[in-house]
Amino acid sequence: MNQIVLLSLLDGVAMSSVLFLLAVGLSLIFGVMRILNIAHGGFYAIGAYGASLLGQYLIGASGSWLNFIVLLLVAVVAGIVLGFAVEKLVLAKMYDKEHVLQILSTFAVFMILEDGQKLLFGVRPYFYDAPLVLLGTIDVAGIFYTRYQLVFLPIVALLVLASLMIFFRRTQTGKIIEAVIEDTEISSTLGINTKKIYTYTFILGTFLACLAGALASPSTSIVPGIGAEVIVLSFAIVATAGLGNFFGTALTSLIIGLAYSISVYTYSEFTNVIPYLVMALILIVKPYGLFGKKELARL
Amino acid sequence: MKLNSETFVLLLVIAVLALVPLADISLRAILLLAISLAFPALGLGLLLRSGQVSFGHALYYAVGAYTVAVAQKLHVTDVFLTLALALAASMVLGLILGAILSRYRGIFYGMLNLAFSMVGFTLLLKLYDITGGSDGMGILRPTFLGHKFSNPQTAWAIYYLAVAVLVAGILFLEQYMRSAPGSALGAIRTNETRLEYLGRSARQVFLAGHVISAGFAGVGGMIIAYSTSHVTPELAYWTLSAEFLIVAIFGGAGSFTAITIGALAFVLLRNLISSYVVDAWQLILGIILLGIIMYMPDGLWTLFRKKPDAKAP
Amino acid sequence: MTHFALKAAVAALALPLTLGLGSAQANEPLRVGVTTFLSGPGAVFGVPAKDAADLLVAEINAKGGIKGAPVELIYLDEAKGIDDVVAQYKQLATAGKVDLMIAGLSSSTCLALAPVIEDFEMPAILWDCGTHRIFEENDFDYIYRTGDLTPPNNVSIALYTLKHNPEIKTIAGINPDYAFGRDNWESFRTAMQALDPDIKVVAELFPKLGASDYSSEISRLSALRPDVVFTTLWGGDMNTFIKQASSRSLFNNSTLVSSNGESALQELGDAFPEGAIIGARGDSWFLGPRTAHNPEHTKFVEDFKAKTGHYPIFPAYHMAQSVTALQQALEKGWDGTPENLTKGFLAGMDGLALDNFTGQLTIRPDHQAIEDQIIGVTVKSPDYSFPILKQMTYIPAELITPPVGTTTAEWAKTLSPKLLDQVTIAQ
Repeated sequence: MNQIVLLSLLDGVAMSSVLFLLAVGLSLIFGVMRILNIAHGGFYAIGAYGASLLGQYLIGASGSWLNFIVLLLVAVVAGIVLGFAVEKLVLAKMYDKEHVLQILSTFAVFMILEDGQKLLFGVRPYFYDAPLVLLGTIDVAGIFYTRYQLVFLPIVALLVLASLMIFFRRTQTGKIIEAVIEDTEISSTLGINTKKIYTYTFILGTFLACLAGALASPSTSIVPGIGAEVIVLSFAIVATAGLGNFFGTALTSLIIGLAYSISVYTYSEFTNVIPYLVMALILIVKPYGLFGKKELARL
Repeated sequence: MKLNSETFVLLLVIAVLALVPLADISLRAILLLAISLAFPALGLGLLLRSGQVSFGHALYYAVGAYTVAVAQKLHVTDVFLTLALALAASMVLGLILGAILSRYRGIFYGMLNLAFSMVGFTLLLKLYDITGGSDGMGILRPTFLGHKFSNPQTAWAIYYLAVAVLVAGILFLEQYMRSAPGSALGAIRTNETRLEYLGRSARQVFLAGHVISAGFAGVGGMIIAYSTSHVTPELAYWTLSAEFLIVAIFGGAGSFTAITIGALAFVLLRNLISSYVVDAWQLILGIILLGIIMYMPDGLWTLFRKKPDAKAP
Repeated sequence: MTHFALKAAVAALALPLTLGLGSAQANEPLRVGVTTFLSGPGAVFGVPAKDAADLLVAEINAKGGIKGAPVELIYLDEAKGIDDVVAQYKQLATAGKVDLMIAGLSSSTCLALAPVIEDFEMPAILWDCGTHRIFEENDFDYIYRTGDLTPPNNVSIALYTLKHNPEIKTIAGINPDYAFGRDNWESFRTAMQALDPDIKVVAELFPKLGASDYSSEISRLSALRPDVVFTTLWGGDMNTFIKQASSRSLFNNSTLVSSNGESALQELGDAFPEGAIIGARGDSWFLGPRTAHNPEHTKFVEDFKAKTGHYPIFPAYHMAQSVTALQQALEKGWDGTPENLTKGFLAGMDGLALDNFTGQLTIRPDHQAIEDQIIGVTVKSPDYSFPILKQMTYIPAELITPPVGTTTAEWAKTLSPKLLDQVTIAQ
């Protein structure tokens, strides 16, 4: 019995890290810009494809520490390029429109990215696991876990969480962004360039989505359609957490990750329902999410 | 009924739906698909009058479709019966879930709907022994008040039944919007408190709207079940909910006739594009959608809070 | 309005002509609809089948077609979803644009599409799906299956596994959550426990088809350390699972058994574990002993490799079986006229026996084909960039297939350890 508890915990932590990285970019964009960015899934997929492809061609099957640089680089480049393009070409024109239309515009971007992936990368599955294999395995109570999933990803997740929290609480820019969140009108009368803030925020959010994809790529098969799966899961996490709350996102990821892995060990038939069941249950009790505030309901 | 330009357009739409398949039978399937999409879009159009958006109406669509399949398993094959059952099932579910949902507005109403629909999707996927899991369930030829027709005859009968029900649905919605609870929906969008002062429960008004929209989605599901002869859990997936929303916006959420035209335009456009550009139709459709959202105010006027319009409900 | 009325009148007159089925005429093309996976994770499985079909049909047409009619293939992509495939088929059939079907890579497609094809009274051959339910739960007049089915796939591999590793005590299954995955596991599990009642099942996992991460499942299997891990994950799913499992040394303690594993050997290359017990869903394998000296087979393999860069896998052979069976049936039973196409097809398929480069099969009165099953153990090879099979054994069809008129469930009850004595595996 103890072994099951231990294993559920380990698997849960591994899964939670992935979920958090997935959801945090979405949380950021909603928190600051009040936009539910459906294109998030598309950015994730491009990050995954990009990392896989570049890793394969630049470094090859053997893998080296360069792989990790590639992962980061792909996320940064894709994040900046895509984030900037989408924000300037689409979102900038939508800020004064109804929220429904904003969301649908991001859905349109998502559709474009879905087909864009197929045209750029083809329809066959990609699998490039060199970074994962490179870090080797670790023996825990007789079970082999990959260091990548058990150690590396959780560390990265914690780093991202810490960085975001420090950035928003301690740095000048972070505080400016918080001011914009609180009250856009007054912020602009104070001389804050709100448009620029939105652009930077969106780029950051896109970068995080691409990073999540790049980091997840060594452990899974990348096929058309992973974007769509990821979005709804991210939404579930972000809505349950309380839109715009990073700590809430981390906590929710942990809850869902643990619930999921416990279910694999006990009642595995309903594993796939878990994220949405948790979401539905929490939202029924706390409709604005675990840490959400009613003001965010403004439409 | 007032004889105005909108009525004329509606008549034109009905004429197109009724007569085009006679000229070219290969268009019948597409038009039937458009009709089945029009139903949930109309339901969403109703909700949009109250300013609310649901990201989970595919759930009711799927419920309507699976009702037909399950009824068939229980040897109920009459098309009128399955229509009634699909309507009832989706409305009952809408009532149960609506009891919780009608408390919320805005993005939270939207997200809770999504949550429920994803739970529904996963249940349909997992309850293998009842629903067939991801394999889904097959739908055979329905009977019409005891009569079984040939394969081609049945296909025509289903089509014209769908057209008739669509017309009835549009007329119902227009009548509903003139009634007390219907016009009260508009108040939810502008000033709910005012509604309460008038002695009406905003929650009940919204609940009624939610239930009706669920019913419409259910009817759409029943039609798609007969159209494709097969149902799968994908009918409850969130991307379909998003598609309903797109269809509702496409033609113009302002009038129910416009929404119907939007459904036709959407399906025909998608078919056209995908027959030319097999692997990139989503891309092109996405660009067109962006264009409509960003630059075409026609038909999107109900959503522009800043421009009060004489036709506003 | 009058314009419409005129069009309607003309259309009404023209309708009977356009709706006619079997409207292919000699020298008018024979239009064959083919469903397979052309995109997504299933493409690694479905595209080789398309390649085989294109190859063979090109040869047939070069020699004048079938009874003078050139064959035209119309592909439907199963990856778009079952509902979509059924709707597409209905549209083609209603418009009279297809004459017969070679359908069903996925069991889901077969189960959904077959009743609809039958309703159109159109001849069809199911080419790959394995679900035994298709003919046990339905009585079709127009549908035949040249592909083999689930019970022989799994009973044969169960026999082989127990003969190879008699000391097995525990088994676990990880199979995709749909008809194919569930039926295969049920079939394998029942067979193993019938052949050796001491065997215990320690885990039954059914991840969603298309799942991209099996980490938790692999952890659980690692903890349980079953002697056998049985899987029928296929396409991209199998690739992901095997790679993830290999990187975590799952197969150091558990033997991988997969009745459809042959299809993944080339795709995974040397990432595929050695010592795995693999089936090829039938008696065809590109290095199989029975076809090793068949010149037609050698040509097929060479042409296929030249066209695609890969050796043919069992989906390609299954498609080849269907195409050659169709050709043989029509050459035998059809007079070449459009009106008699269906009649000719039925006459030709009745009792068909195929013995060519794809192996041997016979069609029974219940429209199901039976064939022997080739099983082997994986071993790395210096001649190929992927593992090949050693200790190859053909398990005879009669031992492992439920007879006509008996359901799989009933027949499974008759299995006993005595069956093991009737099988010898190559050493």
